[in-house]
Amino acid sequence: MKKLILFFFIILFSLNPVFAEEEKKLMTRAEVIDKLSTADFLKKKIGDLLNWSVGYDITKINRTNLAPTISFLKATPVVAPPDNRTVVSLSAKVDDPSGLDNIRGVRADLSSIKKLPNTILVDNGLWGDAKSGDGIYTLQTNIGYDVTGGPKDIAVAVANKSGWVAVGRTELNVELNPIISEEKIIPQIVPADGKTIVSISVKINNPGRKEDLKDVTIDLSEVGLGSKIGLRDDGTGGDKLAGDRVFTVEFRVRPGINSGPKKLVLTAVNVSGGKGVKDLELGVQ
Amino acid sequence: MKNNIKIIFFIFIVLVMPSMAFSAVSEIGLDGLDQTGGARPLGMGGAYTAVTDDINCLFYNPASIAFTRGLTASIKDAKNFALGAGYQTRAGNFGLGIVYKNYEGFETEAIKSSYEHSIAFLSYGNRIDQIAFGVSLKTLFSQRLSVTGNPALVSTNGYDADAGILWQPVNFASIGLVLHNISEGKYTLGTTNETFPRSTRGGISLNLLETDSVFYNDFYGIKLSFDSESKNAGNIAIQNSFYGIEFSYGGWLYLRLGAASIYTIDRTASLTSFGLGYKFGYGQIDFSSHMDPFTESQISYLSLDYTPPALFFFPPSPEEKEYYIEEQQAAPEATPPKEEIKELLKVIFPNDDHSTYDEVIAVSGEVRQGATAFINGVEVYISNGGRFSALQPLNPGKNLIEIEARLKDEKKVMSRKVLRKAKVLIAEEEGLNKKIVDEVLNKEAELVKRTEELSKKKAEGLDVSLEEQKLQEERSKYEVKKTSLYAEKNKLEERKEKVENLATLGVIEVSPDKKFEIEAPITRGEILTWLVKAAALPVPKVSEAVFSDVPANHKYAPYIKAAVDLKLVIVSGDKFRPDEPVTEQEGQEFFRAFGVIQ
Repeated sequence: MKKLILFFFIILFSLNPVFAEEEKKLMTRAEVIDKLSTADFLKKKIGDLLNWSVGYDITKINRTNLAPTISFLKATPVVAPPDNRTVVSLSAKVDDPSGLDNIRGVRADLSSIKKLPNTILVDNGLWGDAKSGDGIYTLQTNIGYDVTGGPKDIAVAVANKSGWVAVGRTELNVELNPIISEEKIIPQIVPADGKTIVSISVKINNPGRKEDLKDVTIDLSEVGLGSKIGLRDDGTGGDKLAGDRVFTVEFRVRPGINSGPKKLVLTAVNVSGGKGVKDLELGVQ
Repeated sequence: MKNNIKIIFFIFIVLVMPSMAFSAVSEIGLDGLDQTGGARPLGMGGAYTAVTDDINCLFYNPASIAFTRGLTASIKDAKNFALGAGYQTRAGNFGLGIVYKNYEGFETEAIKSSYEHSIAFLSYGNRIDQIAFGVSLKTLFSQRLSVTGNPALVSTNGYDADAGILWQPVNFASIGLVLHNISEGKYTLGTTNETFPRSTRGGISLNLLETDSVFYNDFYGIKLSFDSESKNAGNIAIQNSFYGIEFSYGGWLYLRLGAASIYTIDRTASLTSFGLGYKFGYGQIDFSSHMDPFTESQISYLSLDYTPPALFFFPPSPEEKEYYIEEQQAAPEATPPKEEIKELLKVIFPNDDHSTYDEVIAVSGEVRQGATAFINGVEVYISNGGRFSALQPLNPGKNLIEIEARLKDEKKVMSRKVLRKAKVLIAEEEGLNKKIVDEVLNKEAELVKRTEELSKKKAEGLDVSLEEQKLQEERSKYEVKKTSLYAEKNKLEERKEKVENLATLGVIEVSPDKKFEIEAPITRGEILTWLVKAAALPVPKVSEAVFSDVPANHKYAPYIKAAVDLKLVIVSGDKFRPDEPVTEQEGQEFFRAFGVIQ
């Protein structure tokens, strides 16, 4: 009987939900957090975290960059005359981590060409800007007569609405005179027979627009010809390709010209009043 | 300064009274002292009263001479020309003009007539800040009116004066007002007594793309101008209007259009005008063409202007030359604000040792005029007032922000310590707060109300002892509940802080927009992940299933593998049961394995 009663109690005890719960008691996140927070190795870490005197070193500088960017920046033309009229375009392609709408503005420091230090570039499809909202900001300006020649540094700064700035730099070369280069005389020595054709070609880089090059002439008086013979860049008269800035003249040395070196003065003049001069030498035998 | 302006305006108001004098010349819309001219103004419809940027303004508003200088000559033919000069002195600017006008072949009452006059004037203008005032003394040398079939009438000399005021509040806008013939001077034409007609002319001029304008453009220009004139033609009060626009390209090529509505003889004529200009250095050549309202013929003017930075009647002293030329050259530049002597760098926000839950912080401050500023090495935008404010992203935990200002050789660096704590939304917090509102705050209000009601009843002499006793019991229960709920809240706050700390350290992963159920049972995978992270154990890469129920892509797989590899967890069988809740006993075993408890 006693055994039966004991068995009954054991069954009753094991079926009691209170005791069953006790055995299966689950651990909550709160309990784990309490325990973890008191663990020695974490107590130190938490202490350090809340300590303003520890751990604030250079590694804690967040280098995430929210600044806008300038992916290209150029002045067109790169070489321009100080004539107060040739249009110089400054273009900057900008972008921003938060999109183009976050761009506050783009400005150029034109003080090196005696203009305002904070001239605005626009992306509105006006004032020389090709397309509105494409991220290419443009300004058009010109170079005054009083600007001295040489390379001019132009800084462009783009600011975004998050308060950041990116600065880019480009160079604009101020030059009034046409630049003469790549001169070729074929042949370099020629008989004064009135038959042999002499071809002279030179490359002329005019500051600003090539259309603004007014005259390219050569003084051929030492070989018995005119003092102001024009060179051409129209693909005719010995010129190979029209519009390639290589100017050519062909002529024959008059018979009877004394042998020896002859100085031929090449002159290039542009509408801005600039003048490039180069002495060439032709041998006559 | 304010008193001066009041006096000037008072003089204008007194003088701007309608004239009732009779005049044969003014009755047909002519003014014997009309000195308007210049191809540029005529190309802009004659709307020039508020224009200040070239010497032609001398013919329209004597006050404008205070802003300019130079020489001008304009001509239509030998009988229509104007010459002008403006020059500077330290006591103000002076102008001199000679105008010859001739109208040939216009009709008055169907009879052909012609009219001509020649005048000269001397102007003086001066300015106080942006306000200029000026006067012109004018003399009529000769006037001739011929009507077909009648002998020509020739005038005597006559005199009068103009007074003008011009206000240029900003670089791109100006407003002008002129009173012409203020004394209504008398003269004789033949045997008739004539009067110079008094008129008032006001104007406004806007350079839309000028410096300081929101549309500023360096290369192009658009100038808009408008004039309105009131005067009496004999006994007829008439109103003339003038409109002009000028487009400029590159600062050297100009296109102008104008329109005007002008009273002539016995009608109001509308006319349009057109003009071109070419600028070279300090020189400018202008052409205009418009329909003459009197002769109804198309007439053209050509002008040559010279507007140097400075022009002196007498050779200037070196000081004067330097003063005026520098002033003129500096004029197009924006005047920098007066610099205050202040610190090179001042950080406004954040203060040092700043705690925040935000992922981004607006770092703001001030620098001295002309300085550049950098935050963590990246340049920031500085407003005109020298202020900056930039959004700096923060890493979870400790952040050091370095703010630097540079000005020439000066440099100042300041740093700020910022702790970005993980933001945790505890799910149970909302329920607990609601419980506090319902069971504490509302109950408190209810108990107070009932106490007041009992006091009233008591004051009325009613027996409320039983109700008082009941209320007392409720209050006691309420106090117990209140203490319990606030203790629960404090405990939750403490735990929230612990969660924030552990989340900031990266032990617990908490989503900023998902509520964290702190009282929820923890799973086996989750507790192991927390413990591995807390112990900063190396976490291996998992390429295959760790257990049959922990595939390689299971979110807890790397942490379970880390613990298993280090034999911190020993599992019999091929299952780990990562998503099953942890029992008390399992939890204790995990704690012991990781050294959380001994």
